[in-house]
Amino acid sequence: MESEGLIVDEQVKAVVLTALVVIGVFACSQTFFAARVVEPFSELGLLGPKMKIGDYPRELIVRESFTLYLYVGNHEGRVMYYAVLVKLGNRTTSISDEEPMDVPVFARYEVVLLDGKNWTRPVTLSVEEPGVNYRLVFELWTYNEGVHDFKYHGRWCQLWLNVTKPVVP
Amino acid sequence: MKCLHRLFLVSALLLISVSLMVVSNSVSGEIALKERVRLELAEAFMAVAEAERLSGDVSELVDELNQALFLLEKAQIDGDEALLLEALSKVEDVVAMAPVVGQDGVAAMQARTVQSWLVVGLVGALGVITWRYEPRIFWRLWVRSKRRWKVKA
Repeated sequence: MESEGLIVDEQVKAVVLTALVVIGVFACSQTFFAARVVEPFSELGLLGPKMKIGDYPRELIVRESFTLYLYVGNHEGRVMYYAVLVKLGNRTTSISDEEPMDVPVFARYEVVLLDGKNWTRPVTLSVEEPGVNYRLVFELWTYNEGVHDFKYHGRWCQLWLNVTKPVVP
Repeated sequence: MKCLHRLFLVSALLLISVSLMVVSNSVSGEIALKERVRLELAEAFMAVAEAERLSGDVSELVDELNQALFLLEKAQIDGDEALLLEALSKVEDVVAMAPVVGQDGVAAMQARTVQSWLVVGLVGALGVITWRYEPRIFWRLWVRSKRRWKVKA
């Protein structure tokens, strides 16, 4: 009887010890790896005048003001200093994830965002010259502490616009 | 009469050149101030990033920086130098506060490390106690709970 009791005691001890080891390892790993970001990324979005994806302006008159909403999200795991550059190009001006559009900056918006935060703000713009198939491009740039300047982050979105002259009565 | 006319002409030219100089100085002063705010903003951001690396709570500093950015944008639209000065003051506050926040972060991190080791120690101690006393307590409780059971052969 005594020997059976001892055998069960050892089994209970082993189970309890295993559970404790597992809990301990899990607790320690949570403490040390909680703040680690596996895949850092930033978001750039453009919303229509009703703050939704849609209802974007397509046909405009010269100097007609239109409002859009700019959305930037930070999931980089650290504080970021963003600049969104607005540029006006056309069908032939090129832009990619590596190279920004090589045209003058039309407007510029800046924000500093903590990790996990996002920012939505209205932007009111107008185009001064008539034209067909304008590309209103929004590029995301981030402040690079190494080069002490903003660097193109490879995120961009665009809006196609036709701008016509106002009709003179 | 001719001398008076010449004097008037010279005074008018002088007045125009002085006013042009004043305007150009104020414009270049505003541009220089704007540039200074931009440089300070970059410096402030780097200070904030460093404070965050040291585990400091930088949310208030980030709010201040965004307010400065808002003022800078408004100053560019309105051409108001007072807004630029206000933005500069906010940015300078951030530069001054960031190292303090960083130090607070270091202290908080040390406290968290101590806390973590205390938890690890506590779990270890609980393990030893359980290892030593748990079987005895467990079987005592088991026997107590089954005390009224009767065994039928």
